[in-house]
Amino acid sequence: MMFSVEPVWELLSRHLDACMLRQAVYSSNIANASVPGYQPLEVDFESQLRSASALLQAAPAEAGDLLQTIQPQIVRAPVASVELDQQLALMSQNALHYQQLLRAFERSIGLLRLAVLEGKES
Amino acid sequence: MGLFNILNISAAGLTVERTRLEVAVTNLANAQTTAPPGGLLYQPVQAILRSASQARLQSSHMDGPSLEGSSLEAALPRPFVAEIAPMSSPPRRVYDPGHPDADAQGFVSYPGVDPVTTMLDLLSISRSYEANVKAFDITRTLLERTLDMGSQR
Repeated sequence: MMFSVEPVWELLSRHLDACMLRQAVYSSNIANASVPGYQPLEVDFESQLRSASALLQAAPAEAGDLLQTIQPQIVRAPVASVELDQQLALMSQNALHYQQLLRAFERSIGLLRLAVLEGKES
Repeated sequence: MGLFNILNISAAGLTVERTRLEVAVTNLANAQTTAPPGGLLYQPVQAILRSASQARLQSSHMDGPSLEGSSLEAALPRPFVAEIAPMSSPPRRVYDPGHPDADAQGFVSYPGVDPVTTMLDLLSISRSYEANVKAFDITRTLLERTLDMGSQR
């Protein structure tokens, strides 16, 4: 079986995009915290990922096409007003998640580098 | 994708909080000023905040086609100060017949600034400002990490 790194990169970069969008949404929530009547927002990505992975198990061949359909959405958060501490906690969590994904990206690049260098370290 | 838009959002939050701070401090600073009877007394003001493009986002999400990709970030609401409006609080009247600005009954009018409320406002402003700074820092860290990606360590 041929090893292809492209679907992995596609998935990682989409997930990174979603995390960055989430960072923007939390920033916006915090910035608008003092505006009366502001409705906090949230990003929906994981549920789409789950449904895509369920579809993938049913039909494994369409992995590449399926990735194209995953789009993060901005939805209303299920809370009525912005709680600063809560938003900051969510933001820290999201930041860690983002760095985790970056690390995964770097590892997969390292794997490819290893293959290009024929297993030699440098 | 407009990476630096995120920093702009936090910056808009900081600007709004700073304006609120200026308004509160102005009220507090002018709280003890008086005016001769019939003269112009300082009127306490307050900043009216609004969110830009919030309505657009909600309407597009409710019935139109949903926004995608980079336009999502551009559609995120940013706060701004719509106007600095005078508050309708009545002047505080203090009996002080010896004061040069006292009226015929011996009362002196002071602006209707409530120092306790204003101090509480200052606390909440300070917290919001800090939260925006924190958000700015986290975003900057993420962007730096992204730029470092792939570099040899």
